[in-house]
Amino acid sequence: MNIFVFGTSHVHCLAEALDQQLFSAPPGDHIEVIDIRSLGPETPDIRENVIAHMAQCAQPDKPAAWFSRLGGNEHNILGLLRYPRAFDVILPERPDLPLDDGVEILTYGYIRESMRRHILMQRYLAILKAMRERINAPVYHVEAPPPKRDDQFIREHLDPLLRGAVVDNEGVYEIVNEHLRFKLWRIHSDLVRDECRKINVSYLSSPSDVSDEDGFLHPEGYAPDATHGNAWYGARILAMVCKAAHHASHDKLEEHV
Amino acid sequence: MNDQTHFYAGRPAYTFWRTAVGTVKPATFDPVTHFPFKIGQQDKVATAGSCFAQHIAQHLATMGLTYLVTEQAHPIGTPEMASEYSYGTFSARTGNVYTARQLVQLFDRAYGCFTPAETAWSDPDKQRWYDPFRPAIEPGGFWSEAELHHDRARHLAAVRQMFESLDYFVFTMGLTECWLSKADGAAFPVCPGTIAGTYDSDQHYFQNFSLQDTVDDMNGFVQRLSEVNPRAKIILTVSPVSLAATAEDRHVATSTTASKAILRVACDQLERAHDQVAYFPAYEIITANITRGRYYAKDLRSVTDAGVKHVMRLFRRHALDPEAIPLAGKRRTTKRRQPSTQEQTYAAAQAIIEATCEEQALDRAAPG
Repeated sequence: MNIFVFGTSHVHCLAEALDQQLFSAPPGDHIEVIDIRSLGPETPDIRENVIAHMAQCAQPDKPAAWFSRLGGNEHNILGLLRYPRAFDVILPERPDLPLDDGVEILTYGYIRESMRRHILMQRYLAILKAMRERINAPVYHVEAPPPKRDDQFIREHLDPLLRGAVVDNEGVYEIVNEHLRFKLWRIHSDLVRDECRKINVSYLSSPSDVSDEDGFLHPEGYAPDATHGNAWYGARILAMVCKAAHHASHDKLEEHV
Repeated sequence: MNDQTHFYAGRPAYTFWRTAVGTVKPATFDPVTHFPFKIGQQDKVATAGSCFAQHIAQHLATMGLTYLVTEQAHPIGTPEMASEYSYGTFSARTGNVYTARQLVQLFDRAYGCFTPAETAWSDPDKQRWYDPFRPAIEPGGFWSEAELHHDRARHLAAVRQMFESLDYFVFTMGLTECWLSKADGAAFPVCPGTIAGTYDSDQHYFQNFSLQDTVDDMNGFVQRLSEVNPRAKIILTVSPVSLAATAEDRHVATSTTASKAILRVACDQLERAHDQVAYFPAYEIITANITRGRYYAKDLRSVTDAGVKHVMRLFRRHALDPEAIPLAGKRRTTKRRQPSTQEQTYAAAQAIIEATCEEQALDRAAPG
């Protein structure tokens, strides 16, 4: 079976896992990891490049499954760094999570809608939708990595690009607390799951073995930056992906939503 | 001996129907006389009221004066979202305040003098929650009851800030018909069950406020506002938008006339009773027979953009200090491309649509 994993920055950990032989494709399987940014400049037109590349990859005589790791940082762009007008949110399913003292409580719907309208979210969902319409094979989207819990680690490894993208000088690159990072990740995941459902793309949540007991990314899975997983994490994602691919080949297009 | 032949001789032209209405061009119709206030550029102007007030608020925000908004959208959202979530629609995220009772209770809720028993409405599955006093404020509803309570606390703080920092409060009175809670008389903007919540005749009742009720409520509000903000001045208007439905067992047109008459007379009494209160005749500008109904949209209820512009043109002329606001009353000198008819129509329709009127939820209940 051909297993194609395509996406943006969150595919690197998968490629690293393969390179470091932390995960090997099951016999008879071929795994290919594609960073769509290698297919052309990341503009709205990239959708056609992605589809064209997929057509090239497809082998009529061999079953295939496609796994998306597109995007997955919109929640970080929105809220990894503490805004001058700091905010927090109540998760409907986890109202027990603490709120930051004295900050504005934004509504879940407002944050979710802000994320939904983010230009990157719209761009990646458009690619997924086009894929689903034009590729005759199972298409999945894999949840973004859970947030890292370690504040100090994040501060020391903050991506300079991310700093510039979200705050002005008043923000002083202060990061939001771990609870808000977790909440924003949950909002992102719920949103993407719902959007995938609308376009008939199956959604895969993170495997339980990549998280600690509170749902944060296991420290062994930290890439040396603020938001990404490493090869250890990537190997576990690949294991889940392969399992899902074979599940799909047996059960056709049964949804994993 | 007085050389006047009778009292009316020599009176100003605006006091005569023929010269003030019968022979003037509709576009030049101006019923505003002796408006007592002149709003300066630094004066903070706040708004609240019925759906017609949304139009006023939108125009005030673009007239070069200081339009007070104390409840701002967070910048993580887009400008379009701010509008959809009713930020800036009024000075605070009040939603539509149709009745004088709602207004005085809003004040009391903001200052902790009144805590209604009915605090939240939910859908049957308890998946979404609605503020009974602003049921349409959050698109799709709040995602948890706790979130609703946090948002309301923030909102009421913004209402206090509005009342305490404003210089002028423009309030558009919309209705006398109201639905209230039997538990404590809490006044809802709409009948429970129309936008959210569940109507229960054991818990809710209908009241059509009388002139006395309305004046008492407004007097109460004027008194309260002056206590927290002695410099505050109030500009009253009456919404020319007809009732979407009446709860009285009579024709909706009859109820509309009764309701608007009560509100208009209430304004008259309030204006005469308080130096800090003035009435601006937006209602007359839209409804006067000189317009021959042209300021109403196809539904004969919504006000067209042209009507709103007429109102705001006169508001600028009479209520704004031309010294303080350079653009007031002066034509722009830069030439601009005239929009096509299609664009104008689209823009006018859009303006009507965007003045989201919670009361329109009643239309869904209309037969046929």
